[in-house]
Amino acid sequence: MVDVSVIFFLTGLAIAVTILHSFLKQAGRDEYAYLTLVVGLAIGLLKIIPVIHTLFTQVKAVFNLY
Amino acid sequence: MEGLFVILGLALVATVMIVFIQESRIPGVGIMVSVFAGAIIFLYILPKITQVITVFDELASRASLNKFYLATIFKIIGIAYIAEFGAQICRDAGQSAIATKVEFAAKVLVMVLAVPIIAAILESVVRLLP
Repeated sequence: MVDVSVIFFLTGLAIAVTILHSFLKQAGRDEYAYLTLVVGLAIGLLKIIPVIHTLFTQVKAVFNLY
Repeated sequence: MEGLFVILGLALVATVMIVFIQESRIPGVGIMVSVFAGAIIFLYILPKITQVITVFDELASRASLNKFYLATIFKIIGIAYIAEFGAQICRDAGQSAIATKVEFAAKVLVMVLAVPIIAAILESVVRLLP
């Protein structure tokens, strides 16, 4: 059973990215504001890719897909 | 039975979180949460599928059926489940074109797996004919 708290982590990530984005945009740093979006997406992908890998390996093992 | 409540709670929490995330500046994370929840539910339900498959395997070996045919059927079921999972996520994200291609690829793979069985059927039919 994989940890379910990743859902809450991703929600918190979205909140933090949104706050940082509006903050940097207000400060006139549009390029850094865009960078926060990219970094947020990268962190989210790093969190879920292992889960997808686990899912694929298990399905392969159960249905003998080789 | 208690497994259903676990899945239902996870699904409700994930849905609320996704609706919340899609209002934020980074809606792509909502799709990630959707993928994650789908993967967790699938992983939770896989051991039960394993039990069913074990029973089917035992029945087939008792009926002295060819193992190859049953393995092919299970492979086809696995391909269908995984392709459906991927295609639904693509469609949820608004990319119906990619979802259709994923389904198309799964259909082709299933056809490739089914070709030996069709050939075997045709061979037996030819043998029956005078």
